[in-house]
Amino acid sequence: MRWSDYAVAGVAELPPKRTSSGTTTLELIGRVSAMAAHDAGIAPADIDGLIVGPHVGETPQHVPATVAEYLGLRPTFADIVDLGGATGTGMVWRAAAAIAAGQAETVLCVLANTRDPERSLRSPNRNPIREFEVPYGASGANQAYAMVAQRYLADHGATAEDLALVAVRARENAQRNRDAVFYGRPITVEDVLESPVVASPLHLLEVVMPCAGGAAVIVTTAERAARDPRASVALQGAGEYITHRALSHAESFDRSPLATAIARASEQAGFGAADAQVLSLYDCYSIVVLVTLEDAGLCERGTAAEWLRRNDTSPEGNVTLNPHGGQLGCGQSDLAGGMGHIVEAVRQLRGDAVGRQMQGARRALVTGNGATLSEAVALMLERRG
Amino acid sequence: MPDASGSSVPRPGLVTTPLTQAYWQAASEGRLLLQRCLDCGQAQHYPRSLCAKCWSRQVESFDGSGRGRIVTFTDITMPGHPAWLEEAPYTIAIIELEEGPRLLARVDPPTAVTVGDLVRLANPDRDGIHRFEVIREG
Repeated sequence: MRWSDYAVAGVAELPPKRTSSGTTTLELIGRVSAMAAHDAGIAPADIDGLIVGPHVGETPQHVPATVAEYLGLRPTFADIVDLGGATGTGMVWRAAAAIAAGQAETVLCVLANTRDPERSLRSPNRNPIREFEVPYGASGANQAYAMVAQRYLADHGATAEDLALVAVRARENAQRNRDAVFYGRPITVEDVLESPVVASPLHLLEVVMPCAGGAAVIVTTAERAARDPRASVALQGAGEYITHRALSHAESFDRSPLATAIARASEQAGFGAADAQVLSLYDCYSIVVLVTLEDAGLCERGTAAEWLRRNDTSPEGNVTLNPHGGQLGCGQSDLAGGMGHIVEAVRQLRGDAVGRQMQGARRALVTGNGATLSEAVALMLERRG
Repeated sequence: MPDASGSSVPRPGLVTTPLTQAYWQAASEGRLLLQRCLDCGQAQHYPRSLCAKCWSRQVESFDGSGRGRIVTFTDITMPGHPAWLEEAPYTIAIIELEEGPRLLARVDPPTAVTVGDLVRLANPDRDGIHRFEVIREG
């Protein structure tokens, strides 16, 4: 199969909200799916494939069937993708592969989540990370990304200011996105450094804000997508690499699995990160952006902050980094936050990113990252027409 | 109801499986149990039903030296689980053992380590987890 025979026909994203009491995950999935179908100009009856996430709030089991029934779909192909923050990117190439296999023609990929702070969910894990790490007081993602950052600072002599710059850039771009939770709230490097240290060396403002929300992407054949009078966005390459669950079992502390995923996607696409005008890079923490810029080969190890200082990463720059503000600027609607990076890349390449459109954007690199730099997926997208 | 640490939120306690019971028993005695593959010689942590390198099922447990080096660490001021709030700040680290495997563990005293420090297993604590201490030269 050739990736370029498949395209993203429609996208949608719900504005991230801090809370969502009174609503259900299925309701949010319904809303965002309808928005994506409308965006694609595709009727529900034309959707014959469905890919969902692993934990739709109300439904621990039979997730695809429950979502299909709620949406009134009878898909000839249904699946779950469970790759943490790489779930959205992982869905896109699987949708194309399912179409190539003749199992469907038009696949809806959808993720949504509610958030009620009164009912915080504790994971019921009984796996090795629960047995061998949680009893040490190592719960949650902050501690693990803090250890990635600590090692980066030690190896490269990078500074707290270098990390803070990532959060500042994200907020700058979020000021052009009315849907961002931090719209109207820019920050400075000093603000970041004055925010509390959560787990050294990470400050609170270097960590994403958890939100409720949803996102959807519709993948179909390039031929079908070409019926859309707008420019369409073809898939050109997809790379995936899963190396560990717990950071203690990482393959390397010098690079992340994104390096392999991006290299594989680039090889298939015939172009690399340096040829992309839009970098839609998964950014759950400041450190992840620095590591990803280096994994993508855009700069030498330890020099990502210099790269940021050299480049205007707003939509006015030669290369824009997370023009919607990224998850650090928009808020993170659980797994849908990762899918938001696809939605933004597609809008930029189509030329309809209202209020923040980059001129002349033709190619995008989109990354997804799950667990602690454990589950990596990279997509190369290109504008057609 | 307060638990042994005085916190009002109960801690997720130790969990074991029949395969890992000996590991936690050893931990409570201040020993760090590793596994070695009898076919390819690979050492691994945590205990598994097979060698994660060659998939041989001929794996045996042995007492590790308890010595290693800090790969990375963090001083936690805001724990991810509220049961550890009162103990913060504390230090967790990923330690590469002399035998090769890495594990996550505590390093005492808190907030006093750097990447690359040599560490050794300290005397076991009442909570039954592995605690390391920095080896200071001289």
